[in-house]
Amino acid sequence: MSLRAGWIGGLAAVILAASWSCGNSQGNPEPAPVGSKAEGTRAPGEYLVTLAPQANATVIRNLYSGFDIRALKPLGPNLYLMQIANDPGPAVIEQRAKTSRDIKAIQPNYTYRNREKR
Amino acid sequence: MSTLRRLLAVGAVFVASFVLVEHAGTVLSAPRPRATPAPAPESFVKDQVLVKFRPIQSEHRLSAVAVRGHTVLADLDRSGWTRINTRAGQTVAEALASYQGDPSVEAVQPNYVYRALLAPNDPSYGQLWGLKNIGQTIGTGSYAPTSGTAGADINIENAWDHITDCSSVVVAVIDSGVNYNHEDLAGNMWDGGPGFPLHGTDFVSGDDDPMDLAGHGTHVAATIGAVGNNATGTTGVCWVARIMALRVLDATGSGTTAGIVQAVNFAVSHGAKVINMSLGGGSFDQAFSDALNNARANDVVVVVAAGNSAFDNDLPGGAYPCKFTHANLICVAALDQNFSLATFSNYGATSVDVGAPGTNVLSAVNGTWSTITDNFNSGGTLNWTTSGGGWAYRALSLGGSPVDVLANPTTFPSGTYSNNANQRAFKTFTLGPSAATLLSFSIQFALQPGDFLKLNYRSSGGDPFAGGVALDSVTGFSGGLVGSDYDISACASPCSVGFQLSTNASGVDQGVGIAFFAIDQLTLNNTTYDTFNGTSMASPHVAGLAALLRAYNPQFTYVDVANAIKNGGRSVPALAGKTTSGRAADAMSSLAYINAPTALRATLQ
Repeated sequence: MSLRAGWIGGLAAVILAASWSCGNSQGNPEPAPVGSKAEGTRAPGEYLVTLAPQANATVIRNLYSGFDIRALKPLGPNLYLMQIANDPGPAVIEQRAKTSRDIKAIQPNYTYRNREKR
Repeated sequence: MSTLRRLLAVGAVFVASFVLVEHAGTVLSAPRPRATPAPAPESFVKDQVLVKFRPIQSEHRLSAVAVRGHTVLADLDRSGWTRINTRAGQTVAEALASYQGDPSVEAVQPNYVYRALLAPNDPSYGQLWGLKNIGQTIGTGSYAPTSGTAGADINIENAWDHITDCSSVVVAVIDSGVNYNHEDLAGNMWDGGPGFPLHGTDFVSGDDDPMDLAGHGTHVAATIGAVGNNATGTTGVCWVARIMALRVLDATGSGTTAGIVQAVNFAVSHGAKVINMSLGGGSFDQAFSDALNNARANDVVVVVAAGNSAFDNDLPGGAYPCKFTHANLICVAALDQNFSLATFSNYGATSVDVGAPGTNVLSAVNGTWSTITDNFNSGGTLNWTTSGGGWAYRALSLGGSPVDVLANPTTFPSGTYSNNANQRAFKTFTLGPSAATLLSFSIQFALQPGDFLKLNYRSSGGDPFAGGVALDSVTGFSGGLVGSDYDISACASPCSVGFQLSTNASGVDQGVGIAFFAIDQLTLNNTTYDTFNGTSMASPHVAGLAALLRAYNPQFTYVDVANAIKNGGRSVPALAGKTTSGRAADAMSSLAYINAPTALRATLQ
């Protein structure tokens, strides 16, 4: 769900294909989940950064300092969770990563949900 | 030695002389009885053999028996078989050999021992149709049908005759955590030693307590390994297990790549050989893929849920991790009580591997939930506190049914909201003590750029937009009714929840309608069970089977386990063209697949 059309923070991805009408009973199907395309969400302002073997977290701080890094959490060897306050979106973040040889990969921190059918 | 292994041993030694006609109820026929090595000693009566004589006079038959020092115990009706007591001190093998070459004897065999199929004494076992389907009605079931076809199950009882203890295999449940104190799980939790005394760890809160605040992970864990045959609750696929609880989903059931990657790598590095992940999302995820590669490199089987969107996962937009192509990954669709594909289940001829029971699945949960609902009105009048105007209660129609709606503007969905608005609606709720408190509602909105609907809460009540905590903010178009959950466990009672429409000076639109408002509070307990639907429930049936297979054959690699599950499953028409195997998980067949039965069959003329 994009910033322009959805809850900005943490909206669950259950979309019901229904809308309201006034005082009549026509035209509205029963609520039903849409396809899994609707589930492709990410945690806003959060990215996973994989560094090249010789690099360290300073690379990330330098490269993304302009986006107000709130936290940089190591998740494993050369893998960090970067949380930024001013999120320009994945395209800008990924483009900037391409300017550094020390960044092996960067991606959004995608969201997942359990698979219970409610 | 298990019965299956005994049969293998028996078959191996008799293969040169006899024909093994069938597995359970083994009969060895011997057109020309020959001396044979001894069968394994525990599977037959140690001082008896069965002999089938050719048509001869009775006295000749008695003489043939007596000359060997044997005695006739009984004739087996008209079958031609005679049950014979062997000579004291003589082995069964020696007794069998003594009939070699006797022209009056048509066949001879041990008197095999048979047992009733092993079933646990857990009181709710009869409701676990996925393990034993006798066409029973699942009283707490919410998915139609609630009864089905006898035999449409994972055929576990036959497998339990050979193995029920999976404790040599650590199974990681990467989920919302596990209620490790539950009466049916406490005995089967992973021992994490002093470093992880609570049987796992928590990648949501960043501590070592993976207590389940959603209920989902406990349900999954108990399907894999609820303590079996303890006269309590249910049983898992494994009666004895070691469940590692790794919490990556929060109380609302949501998590991220970061937690999942950490959890997979933790599971791998701490010895898990099976991972269950009943979760999913909609994007290719390289970091997740890398973690699965790490699992594969360390010989870890990963079982995942296909998803609940009735969607073809092979298509663009298919769900991950199911759509990953890692060889150690097994993706599971949900079957109903007739072994039809559940109406909600995702599928995929190249991405989904097998089916397993996924409707009306009874299992342990983390506790009980109490719900406060609010319909925004008293006698048709809005009963929320407002400031700045704009808000109203409306009874609108949704699918032909009236729905109570908190609306802005008052004419929603007709008309438009106001510019330069700061309009609030909030209400204070008295909450009881709880382990987790969730806020949920559905919303439909159409807001121009620069206009926002904000959601806040505030401990101790009052206007949540005056010193409260921001939960969320929305703008744009919902495109329909959108449901959402929020964890408001930090909101101290009395807790106020509110919405604020904040608009700028330009542009107006349809506005906001909010419905189905509820606050759910969790009270943990260790004795509750519940019935869920979903591919989430199908996956742990297979994860449990994977653990069973690995426990039975410790030398097996992830390839062996995956092959046994996929190729050893039962062909199910509903899965043909919908999965890579066209099969449903079948525990006994998978055990038999591992122990290839070729050595058991031979025909000599």
